[in-house]
Parts: sequence; C-alpha cells; structure tokens
Amino acid sequence: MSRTFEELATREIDGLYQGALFLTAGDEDDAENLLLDTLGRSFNRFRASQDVEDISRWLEGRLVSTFLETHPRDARAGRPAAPLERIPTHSHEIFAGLDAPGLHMAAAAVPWAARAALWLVLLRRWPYADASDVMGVDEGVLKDLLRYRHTLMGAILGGLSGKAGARRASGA
Amino acid sequence: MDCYEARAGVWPPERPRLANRDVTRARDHIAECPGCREYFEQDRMLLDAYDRIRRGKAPRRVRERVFDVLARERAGLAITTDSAVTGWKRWAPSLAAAAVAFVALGTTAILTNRDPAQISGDAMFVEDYVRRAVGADHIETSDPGEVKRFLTRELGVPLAPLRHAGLELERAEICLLEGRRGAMIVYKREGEIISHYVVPRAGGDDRAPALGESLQAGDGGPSVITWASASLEQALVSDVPSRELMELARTAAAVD
Repeated sequence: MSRTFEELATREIDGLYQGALFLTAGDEDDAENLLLDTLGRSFNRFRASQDVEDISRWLEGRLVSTFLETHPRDARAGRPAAPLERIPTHSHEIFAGLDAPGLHMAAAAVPWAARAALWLVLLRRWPYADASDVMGVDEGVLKDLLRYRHTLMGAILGGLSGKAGARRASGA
Repeated sequence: MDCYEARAGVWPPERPRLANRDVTRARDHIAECPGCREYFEQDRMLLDAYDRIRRGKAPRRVRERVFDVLARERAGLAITTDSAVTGWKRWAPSLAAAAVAFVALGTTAILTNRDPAQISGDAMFVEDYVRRAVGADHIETSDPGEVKRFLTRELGVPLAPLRHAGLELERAEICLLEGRRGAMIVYKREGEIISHYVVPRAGGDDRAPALGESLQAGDGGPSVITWASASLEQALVSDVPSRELMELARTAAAVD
C-alpha cells in the first residue's frame, strides 16, 4: 500500500532533527530551519520520484544536500588534526558519557563540508560512493573530508576527558 | 594497501560483502594493524553513543512546524487523485489544504451549523486525525477509568469514554486543534478505527450531533460528526458508515 509523504516523513523527524543538530553544531534554530527546508523541498521531489525505496536514506541524503546548498562550501577553517598519538585509556567511559551537547560541541570543531561527510559515513554508515554522490564530490575529496574524523575524535576525547576525569576524581 | 584504503575497502564494516581479493586484503591489513583495530574500536564506541543520542525526540514545536510546512506544500499543489493511495490517506491532500485555507481565512470562530467556518471546522478535526504523529502525550489502555483519569488530569474534563456494543477502547492522546489543546480517544469497531475528539470550550450554545457538511458527499472518505455542549466540543471521525457514527454520537451526546 502506498503511503503519503507526510506519513513517511513524520516517522523520520526525530532522526533527521538529530542529524540537523550535528550538521549545524547544535544550533537549534539553524537545525530547525534546515529540517523544515529539507522536508519542504523533498515533498515535491518525492512526488516526482517514483523510485524512492528507502525513505530514511533518501531523506538523509536530502538533508545533507540541502545543508550544503545553504552553506558555503569553501568555509573550511584550519586543517584536519593529526590522529591522536595515544587514545585516552578511559575512552570507553568518555564515549559512554557523550551526550548531544558534547557531540555538537565537538562537531563545531569541524568545517561544514567535513561535518556532512562525517555524519553520512561515520554516523549513518553510508558507503563512500553513495556519500560522495549525495555531496557532489568525488571519492578522493570525500576521503580528504573524512580526515577530519581525527579532529572530531580529538574534540570528543580531549573536550570531554576533562569532564570524565573530574567526575572520576570527585567519585561521582 | 595502506590504512585508508583498507578502511574504505570494508566500509561500512557492518555490511556483509563478498570476500573478493580486495576485501580479503583489507581485512588482512586491519587484522594485523593496531592503528586500524583501534580505529574501528573507537568507531564502534562513537556509533553506539550516536545511536543513543539519535533516539532523542525533536521538540513538539518542531514537529508541528514540519507538519505546517508540509500542509502548505500540499496546498500549493493541484490536488490530483492518486489511485495508489487508498482509504483515508487519499483524503490527506484535500484535508490538509482545507486546514490551510481555514488558517488563511483567519477563521477561529466556534463551529456553528450553516456557517462557512463549519466546513473548515470539520476539516480541522480531520486534519488532526491525519496528523496524529504530532501528538506525544498519550495513554495506551482499554480501561475506561484510566482514560477518564487521563482526561481529567490533562484537560480538566472528567469525561468517560464511549460505551457501546462492539466498541473497543484502544487509547487516548493529547492533540492540538488550531492551537487548542484537546484529546483524541481511539476506539476500534470491527477492525475500523474511530477517533473521538474532545476539546474544552468556555461557554456557548449546545449543538446536536450533525454530519460534517464538507464530507457529506459520500465518496469514500472519513465521516465527521460534531456536537457541542457549553463546556465541550466533540467530534467523531472514522471510515465507518456515517449512519453508525451518528448513532454513536447521539448516544454520547445524550450522556453529556
């Protein structure tokens, strides 16, 4: 049985909103606008497309392409960080305590295009070929953007290890 | 094969893949490379954390704005009949459009018979029927007493759910109708869903149950019966025959 776009899309709102928050580094107003813009534009595309098999994936791709269309692509700041020489020994604890604000704070350390690449590939498990297709870049560029993973991980582990360490020290 | 090639060759790692030569080489590399093993271990921890974060709900305001945007998009299109869409879903476009027209006209009057607002008012109930996903506060129960307590607590309305032969109580949830907080009680009757809307009002004339004018054409969409007392507006929306729905509404109105 066919379903309306509204019916399909409303099931995806929560996941897309969380994705929008990551892409906008936790800016709630930007995330809301991105989500509305994405779904508004997708409505007509969906009607025109007869071959949307996986609405969840399709909307994730639409979220990223809308994000990139509305943000300048050359807004890269800095270079990818080098891999951490030593992973903190309590990294399990840090990741277990990672919350949305912490993740978004870490995402802010990454330029926009890299954030989009990391969200698709790292967090939503898109294959490289599909992610580069949605982003309109070749796989080489995508791999370059994915090097910002070190920056993201560094921000998570570095930014939160202090908090986790403090919690441990206080016995909380 | 270097680390980047190896990682790309097995990405995403959860996906089953044919073990061709490249995949085998990538797996061999990862098995022997401490850096890659650490990479995937870290990756798994991040993914677990994100899966947890991703379960967070979008704020209700965001969900409502999403539906408004979609309703506007829908209203901006020529409504066409889509044979692939069946049942009440076929009505969603025109109902959403009607709801938007209601807003555009600035009509917020209480529903009255023979008033142009009546048509949109009926659509207002159906709009929420279609967009139940907006609702977050709900109670899943077949216990009428529990639903009554829920309505009393949430709306200040000590209304008991309908009791009628063959009518099964399914759940109740809070809904918004043009910014007014109400509740929708859901029943089942011979496999068909019946939605019972309850919206508190501050005074006004009683109204006997009446079939919604906008939906009297009998061309297969849901029927709407509305009625009101001084303190409550109510509506029944369902695909069951309007005659049966009217019988239920009259029973309910007699109890009010």
